[in-house]
Amino acid sequence: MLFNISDLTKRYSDRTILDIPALSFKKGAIYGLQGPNGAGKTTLLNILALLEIPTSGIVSYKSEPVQYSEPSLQPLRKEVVLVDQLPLLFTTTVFNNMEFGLKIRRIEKEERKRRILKGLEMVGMEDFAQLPAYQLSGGETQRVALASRLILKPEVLLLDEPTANVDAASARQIKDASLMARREWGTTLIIASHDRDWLYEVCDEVMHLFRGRLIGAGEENVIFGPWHSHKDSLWERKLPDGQRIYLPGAPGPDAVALIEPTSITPLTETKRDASGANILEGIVSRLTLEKMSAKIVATILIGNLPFTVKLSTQKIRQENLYPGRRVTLHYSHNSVKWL
Amino acid sequence: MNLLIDSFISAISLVISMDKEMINIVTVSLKVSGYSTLFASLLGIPIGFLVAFESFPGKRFMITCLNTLLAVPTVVIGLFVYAFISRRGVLGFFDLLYTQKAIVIGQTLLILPVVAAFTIAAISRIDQRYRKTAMTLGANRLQTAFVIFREARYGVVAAVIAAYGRVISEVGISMMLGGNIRSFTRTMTTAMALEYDKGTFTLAVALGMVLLGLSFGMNLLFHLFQGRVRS
Repeated sequence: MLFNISDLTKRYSDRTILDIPALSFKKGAIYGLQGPNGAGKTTLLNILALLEIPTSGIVSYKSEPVQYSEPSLQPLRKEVVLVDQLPLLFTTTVFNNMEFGLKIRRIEKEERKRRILKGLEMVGMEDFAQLPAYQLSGGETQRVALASRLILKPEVLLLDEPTANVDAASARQIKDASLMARREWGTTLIIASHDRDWLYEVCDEVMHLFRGRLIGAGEENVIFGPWHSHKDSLWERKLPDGQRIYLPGAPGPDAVALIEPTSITPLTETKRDASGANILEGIVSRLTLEKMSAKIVATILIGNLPFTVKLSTQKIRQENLYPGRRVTLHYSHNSVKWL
Repeated sequence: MNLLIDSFISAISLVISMDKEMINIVTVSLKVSGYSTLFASLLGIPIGFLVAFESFPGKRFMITCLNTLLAVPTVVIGLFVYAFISRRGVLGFFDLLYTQKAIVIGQTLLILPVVAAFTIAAISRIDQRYRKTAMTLGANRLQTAFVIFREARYGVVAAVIAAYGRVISEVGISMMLGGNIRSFTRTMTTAMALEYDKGTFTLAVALGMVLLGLSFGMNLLFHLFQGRVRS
């Protein structure tokens, strides 16, 4: 294992930002981190990048517990690098920015130049070397920041929402360049992103962080309150399009429900159960192949609320599902988890 | 009005003719101000940088003290240093009173808080992500500090310029510790005060013009530096 985390917590004042009992990352794999804003993704990446100290718990890197003293951390930071969500470049040229990390690693001048040119080529910015960094757009800054990390050939590359603030073309280049690092140097990638499709497409494992806790493999349907008590010990939540979802055993009106995507079944021919309390109508908006399971992840829009359903290709064919198709979703009450 | 115009015309001729006494006064002024700015910068920039960069107990209190010292009148510094370097003072045996060194000591103490406080402000304004970026690229503490300093360089130069502006134009310390001795400790400001007392304005106006010219020159250098940074 490259990283091993046990009993990790991070608190700011009285607020717990992270609470992870156990988590491991294998060398050379690609990991995805999903979760809403404020879930703790950035804090986890900062801890993995050895830029933040956990409040408690043990972080082991290459089987050695990390010692939080500057002399111990600095050599490790040369192997684990982070690209921030909104990266900054130093107020100098693009070339000098890219040279910084290489100089610190005492790479020879000729090799530095060669790597910088290759890095810029990887992100499609060959002609930008001598440009002052402040003249770059947001997307270009993000690409240079990524390239300046890639040319360091890191063991671990942590990407914090790398495509959140860039246009489609920049996003494509960022995605391709990140994967190239894994392909060429066996770099372990840990990517925090809201781009579900990308994560399912490239990641060996996707994790879902919610309020600082790992709640599953990233595909769970998260349904926020308010919940209202309904008959037969069911709780009701009105969805944006007026439909109602009924779930059993909510701990309170503001609870958050998690429904496993495998427990939702699309039925093209409506088959309501006796109570009619576990049926929703929606439209298929996207079908994505999940790399790790070879299953299809279908996104069904109910109003504007996306529901994720995981199905076999055979089931997709059988139900004749395609984007735009209206479906009825049947969900099992037994698979609901509450937070 | 005639007095002012006459003084102004005479002053121009004094400047053009490079009057020997005027040149001597300007030289003394530049020398003491230059040394005091140099020493205050050598001490104040590292102090300011460390205060801004490091976290330690009493940091806020220290910043408050430095900010308070910005407003200390020159005569207070003059009195304070006088108490130390006069014959009866603990440093009296150095025989520093009424020397250029005494002025340099006083002026250095005057602008040390200026350099330190403005450096703190310049460093504190730097986005924390620069530190994070340097660290994630593998920089050690010294290299990270260098990055932060480099990003704050414009603000730090502004601190030095502001400090220089304060000493070149001060009169209290130069008068109290230098004694306004002709050809030795007479600076532009003390000479102007003396000429005013004597009721002869020509040299005072000429020195005022030189002072303004120097101030303009410093600002010009500052803007050139700013332009270079921007480009």
